[in-house]
Amino acid sequence: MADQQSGSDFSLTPATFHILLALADGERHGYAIMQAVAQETGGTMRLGPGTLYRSIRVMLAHNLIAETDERPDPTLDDERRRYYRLTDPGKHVLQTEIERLIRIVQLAQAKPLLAKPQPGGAL
Amino acid sequence: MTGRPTIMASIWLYRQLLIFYPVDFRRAYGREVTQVFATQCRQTTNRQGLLHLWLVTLVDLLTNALEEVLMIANRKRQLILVTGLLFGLAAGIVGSVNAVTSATLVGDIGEEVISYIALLTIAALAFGSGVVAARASKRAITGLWVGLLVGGIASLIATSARVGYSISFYDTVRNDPGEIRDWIHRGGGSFVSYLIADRIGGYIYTTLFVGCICGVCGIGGGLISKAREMRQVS
Repeated sequence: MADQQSGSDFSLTPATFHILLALADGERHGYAIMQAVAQETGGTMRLGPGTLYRSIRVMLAHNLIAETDERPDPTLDDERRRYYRLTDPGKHVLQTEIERLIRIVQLAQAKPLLAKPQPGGAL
Repeated sequence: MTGRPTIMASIWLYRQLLIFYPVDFRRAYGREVTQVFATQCRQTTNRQGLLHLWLVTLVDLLTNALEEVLMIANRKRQLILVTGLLFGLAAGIVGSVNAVTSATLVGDIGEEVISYIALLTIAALAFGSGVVAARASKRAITGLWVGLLVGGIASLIATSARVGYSISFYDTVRNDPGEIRDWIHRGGGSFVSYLIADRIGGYIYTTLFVGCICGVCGIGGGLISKAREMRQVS
């Protein structure tokens, strides 16, 4: 296993960002993370098993997420699945990224050529 | 739902394809990756869905396996470079001491003793670098590359020290009964031609000689490190 590193210098890829976002609701196993990401992005981002677990490995190494335990998911089958949860550094990194994205959206909204946001929140 | 035999065959095939991933990744996540793919297969409603899943999964598997292999190769290269540089520098210092030691300073026997001690120390450093590199990379052959690198760096430093010494202390070297005087007596030419002809030859000779010794010691260290690791596993 790679040595644990600080999450402060971690740069998020779209996949790792959405995985962290999916885990913000609570602990999940790999397949549940995939489903949550697909659902939350409206199907525009579908993680493959390789991308998912490579991202998980990197985030574990940076202490952004942690393994909780291994147990079956009653909604799927009786196979034991490893669950993951957000850690405090993971929450911090996610929060920082969200704040950064909000600032970008605010900057974009201030541009005269771009449309003002609709009351529903969409640009 | 897709038929059970088709799903079982898909899972079996996917498990075989995991061979493309490096062994560490397979050990750590092979079961989970297969488990996720198996669940995805069971969620498909027909053969068309399964075919689509396979296409997407194949691209995912091949791109991620390639990235993983490239990442490890890059890490391994860095490891070989850093280990080789550090051990090579140490071996170069030892070689330099030997290179600037002449019989006029320590006597014939002293010069011989120092040269043997230096060679043994350089060989031990190459062996040590092979052990370190093979342990970190988990491959015995890495010891050979690191050993060769140590040998190359050591001979480069030592021969450069010798040339620098010859230029800086020309008078001392000129009186060296074993070297320049003989060279000039043999009609070899001037001091400059001595430096060019003898020392460039010295670079090649030393690099080949020390490089071969260090390469052998490096792979020896690598093999011993690997054998010890396998004994611990069993």
